[in-house]
Amino acid sequence: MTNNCRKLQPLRHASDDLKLVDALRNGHVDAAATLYDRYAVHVRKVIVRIMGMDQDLPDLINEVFYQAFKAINTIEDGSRLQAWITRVAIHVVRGCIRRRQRKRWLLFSPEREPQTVGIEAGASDESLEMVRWVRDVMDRMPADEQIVFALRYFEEMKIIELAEACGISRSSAKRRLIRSERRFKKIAEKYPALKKRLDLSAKWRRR
Amino acid sequence: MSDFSAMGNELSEVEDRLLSDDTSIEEAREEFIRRVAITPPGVSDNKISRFVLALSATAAVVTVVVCAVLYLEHSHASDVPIGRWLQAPANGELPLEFSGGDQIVFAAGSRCRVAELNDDSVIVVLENGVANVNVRHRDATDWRVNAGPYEVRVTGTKFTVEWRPDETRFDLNMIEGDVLLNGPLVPDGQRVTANQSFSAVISKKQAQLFMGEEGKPELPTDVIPERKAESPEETKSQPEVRDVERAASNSRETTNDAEPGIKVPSSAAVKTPGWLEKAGDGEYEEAVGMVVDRGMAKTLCESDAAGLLLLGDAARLTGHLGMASEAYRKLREQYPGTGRAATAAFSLGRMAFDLKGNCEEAALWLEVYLDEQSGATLSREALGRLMEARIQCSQTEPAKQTARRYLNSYPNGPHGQRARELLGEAGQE
Repeated sequence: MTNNCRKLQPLRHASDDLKLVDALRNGHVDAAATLYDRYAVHVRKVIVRIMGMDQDLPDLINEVFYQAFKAINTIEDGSRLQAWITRVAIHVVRGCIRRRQRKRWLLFSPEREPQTVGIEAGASDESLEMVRWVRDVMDRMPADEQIVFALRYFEEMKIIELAEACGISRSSAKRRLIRSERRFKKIAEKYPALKKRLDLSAKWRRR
Repeated sequence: MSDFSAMGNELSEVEDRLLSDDTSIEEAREEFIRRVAITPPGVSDNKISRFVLALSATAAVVTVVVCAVLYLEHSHASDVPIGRWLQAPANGELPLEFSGGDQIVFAAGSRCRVAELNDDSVIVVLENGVANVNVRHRDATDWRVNAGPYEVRVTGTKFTVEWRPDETRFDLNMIEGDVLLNGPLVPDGQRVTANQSFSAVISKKQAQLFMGEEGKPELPTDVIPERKAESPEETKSQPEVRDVERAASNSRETTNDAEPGIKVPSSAAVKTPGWLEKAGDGEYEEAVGMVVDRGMAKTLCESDAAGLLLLGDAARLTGHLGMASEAYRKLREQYPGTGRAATAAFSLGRMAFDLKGNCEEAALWLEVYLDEQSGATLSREALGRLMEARIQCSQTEPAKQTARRYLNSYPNGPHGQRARELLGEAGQE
C-alpha cells in the first residue's frame, strides 16, 4: 500500500504538455493555473527581452495567458506548448507595441512615453545608460523589426527558432533581421552615448 | 561575437538582474485565474468573424434561431458541454435547456456540470449554489440531480435545489410533482412531494421535512434521529452516507475509534486547535482560513490521522484542492495501512474525478482504495466511480471488468444500470 502511495505521488496532468493541453481543452479546474505556473517565467522573459522592464508587464503576462487559454483549441501539437505560447506572447507584444505607436502618432507625440521601469537598481550607471538608449532606439523601430532584433540579439535565438516564434519562413526572418539591424544602426547613430558605448562605426560601415 | 550580440548580452544581464525583484508574475497570476474562472477554454474572439457577423447580423440571427428551434425539438442541447464544469456569472443566471422543454436555471455564482446526457438518462451535478429545475414527466427517462452528497431522482417535476458545501447545507423546495431523495440523514430515501421542502445541515446532523417555504425552520431540532454507532453490516448497507457526514464527526473520534498506530491526543491534555473545532462544527471555510493563517506545514505536522482527514475534507468541500490533496497525501504517508489512509485514497480519487476531471488519476486512487478496503463502507461508490472513470478515459476493457465486478457485488446498486449498458446486457433483462 505504501508502494501504491509512492507510485501515485507524481500523478497530475501537469506531468507533460500533451496532458496539460488535454486538460485545458476539457476545462479542468486547475489546468489554467498549471499552465501559468509552468510558463509564466518564460513568457515574462520573452516580453522583457522585446519590450524591456515595462510598466505594463503584469498586464501583458496576464493577457498572454488569457489569449492562450482562449485559443487552446487551435494548438496543433500539444507537445510543443512552449513554442506555441511563445508565439502567443509575441502576438500580444506586437499588438501592444503597435497600439502605443499608433497612440503616439495620433497624439503627434514623437517622444516615447517612459515605459521602462526599475532600471535604477542593480547595475552600473554605464550599463543603465546603455539599456536606456537601446530601449529608446528599439522603440523607434517598427514592431516586427523590434521583435526579431530582440529575439536574435537579446534572447540569442537562432534564425530557425526566430522564424518559428514569429510564424514566418527562415528567409523572411533573415530579411527582417537585416532590415532591423540597418534601422537600429541608423537610429543609433543619433545617440552619442550609445555610439560611444558600442564599437559601432567600423563594423557598421562595413555592412 | 558581433557588436549587437555583445550589446544584447549586456542588456540582458542588466534586465535579468532587475527581474530578480520583479513581482509581475504574482501580480498577473491572480487576475489571470479570475479571468479564466469566468471564461470557458477555447473560446476565441475572432475579430474577422465578428466583423462578418456584424455585416450579416440579421440573416445570421434568423438562421441561428430557426436552427436552434429545430435542433432543440429533435435532440439534446448540443451546446451543453458534457462533463465540463460550468459557472453561472456572478451577476446573472445560467440557463440550460434540454430537449422536450426540460430546463435547469442555475442562480448567479452556481457551479455545475452535466455529467451524463443520453436519450434515457440525464445526470446534472450541482457543486455549489442553487438550481431551479423544471422537468417534464417521461416514463423512459432517468433524470437525476446530484447536489453534494445528495441525489435527487426526478420524475416529472418542478423544484429548486440548493447545496452549500461550506455550510454542508442542502435545501430542496418542491413546486410540482415529486422526487426521491437519497443522501446523508435520509438512510432509507425520502419521497418529497409538491409543496414540501426538505432541509439538512449535515455537519449538525439536522434534517427536516416540512410543508411549504413558510414553515421553514432554522433547523433547531433533529427530526431524523442521529444514528448511533453502526454495526459493520449496517455500515456496509449504507454506502450512500458519504464522508461529508463523516467529516463532521471525525474531530470527535478519539480513543474509541482509534486505529492501531494512530496517535490520539487526549482531549484533556491537549488543547484542540481552533481550526479543528471550526471544521468539526462544519464551518469549513473558516477552518481552512485558520489553517492558512497558522501555516499549512505546521498544521500538517501537528495533526493526527483524524485531523488530517478532516482537514482534507474541509479543504475539498470548500474548493481548496491543493490543500486537500496535501492533507490526504500526508495522511497516507504518516498512517499507512489504516482505514483513514484508505478513505483518503477514496477522497483523492473522488476529487480527481469530480473536481479536477482527471480520470486517470481518479481511477488509480480508487483502485488503491478498493485494494486496501474491499467490502468497506465506500466500496460500492468506489467501484461505481472507478467504472465511470475508466469509461471517461476510454479504457473500454478495464471498464467492462469493473462493471462485471460491480454487478457481482452490487447488482441493484446505483451504477447497476450503467454497468449493464456497458456490458450490453441492458436489453437482455
